[in-house]
Amino acid sequence: MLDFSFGTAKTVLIDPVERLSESRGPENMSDWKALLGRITVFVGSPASGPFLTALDLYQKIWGGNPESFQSSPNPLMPSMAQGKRDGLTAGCIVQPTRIDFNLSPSPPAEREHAEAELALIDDTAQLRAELARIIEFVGGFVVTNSVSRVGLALHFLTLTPNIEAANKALITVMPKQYRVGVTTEEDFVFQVNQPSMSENVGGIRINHVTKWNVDRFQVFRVAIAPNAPVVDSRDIPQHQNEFIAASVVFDSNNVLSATPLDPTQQSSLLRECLTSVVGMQRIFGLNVEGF
Amino acid sequence: MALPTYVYMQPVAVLATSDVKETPALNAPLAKNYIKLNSIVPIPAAEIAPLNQVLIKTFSATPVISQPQLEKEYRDLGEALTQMTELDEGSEWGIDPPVYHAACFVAAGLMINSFPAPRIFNHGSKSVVFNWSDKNNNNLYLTVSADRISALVSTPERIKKRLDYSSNELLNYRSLLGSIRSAQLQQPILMLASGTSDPPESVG
Repeated sequence: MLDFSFGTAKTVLIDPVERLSESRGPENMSDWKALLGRITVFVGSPASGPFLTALDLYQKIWGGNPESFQSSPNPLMPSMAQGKRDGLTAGCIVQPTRIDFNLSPSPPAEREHAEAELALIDDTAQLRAELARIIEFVGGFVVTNSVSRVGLALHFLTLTPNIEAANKALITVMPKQYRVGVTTEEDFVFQVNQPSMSENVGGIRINHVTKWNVDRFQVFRVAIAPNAPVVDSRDIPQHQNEFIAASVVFDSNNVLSATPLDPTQQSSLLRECLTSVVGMQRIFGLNVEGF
Repeated sequence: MALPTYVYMQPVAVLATSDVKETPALNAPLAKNYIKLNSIVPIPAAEIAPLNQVLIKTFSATPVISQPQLEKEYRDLGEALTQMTELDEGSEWGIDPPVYHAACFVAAGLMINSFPAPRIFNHGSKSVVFNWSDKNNNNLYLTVSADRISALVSTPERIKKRLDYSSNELLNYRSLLGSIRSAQLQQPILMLASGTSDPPESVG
């Protein structure tokens, strides 16, 4: 038995040996890849001045200009900036009550007559490095003057040929005490929260939410030639593919703080969240390559 | 500069203070305009004209408004707030930037928690008032200034409750809005708590 502690307050006991032996099969562990990474800073009180826009934050974190930027003249609607970061798409969304930094796969290269593909993050080591970069930024820069909560979420998945295989893949990466006997059932979801006290920021409780579920993705692709004249929609090649995947989502975030968190506390909490997710995905047997 | 178009005329002011000034016209014509609330007195029921022609929204414990509709109404509210802060300095309809930021933050919290979009009034440049009314002329007034929030629940006859909050309490705005909602409805309210950091709806 392995004593896997998420912190000082909660100890979770799982049996990794049995789990690992079961998970070595058709669903090879290296098949688990990342779909999304997200860091969120929750704003706890009104801004004292004009909010930084998504463009400002994007430029400060990643330098240069994003490929797309949508400002929002309306103060209740989000502003968004998004651009390429090597093999990743990096984005920033600013709203009055939360700021999200998103990392997602770059869309696959356009190829004529290509099938619609589900893009995944190939270089997971880079994903982790970019998450660390955002955490460093949060710790060294006052994103906003009153932050009450921070969070880090990561979505990993492995594509499967059918529902039964997805259920099986999920069961093999669940701790023994949570496993249920699903086979052909659809839309399986199982979620637990294993909160713990922060080791670095006194009095702060951290939620460690893990969700195992089967996802069904539909990918649409419409190919329109650049500078094409107006065309009849019936002449446009359209591709639609459906993908079934076993998904594991980790969401670590602190419970609302009674006092604002300073930047050092924010980055410290986020670092704990990232360390926790890295540890849990290994313990559960995802063993995402490079993460 | 054109005046905001989403701010409605509201012929009632029920914010408690000893500073009694003139009462806004009660039988003003229905128009998309806004009114500055100088009057801060409870108004006797006999003086209150029927408001049904003005107040068409109701509030209920169960949200019955769709998300797209809610978003549209809050979009209008955001535009109204922006217009109020863009007015020339000294304009009686304008609001100070700190009030604007506070009002935007509260409005965003209301939207996230699926509160029906409020009507909005200004109250000098130092605060804005969000208002919800039901068909029985029961009102909730949320007065937002730069450093505090005041919630006032009233019937046509009297003020029933007044709750004051400092801006620090906005740190847990969800809890604050929950308590206001509970005071408004005079019953416990149900709020779903979750340990996830997911946004209330997909934004990416």
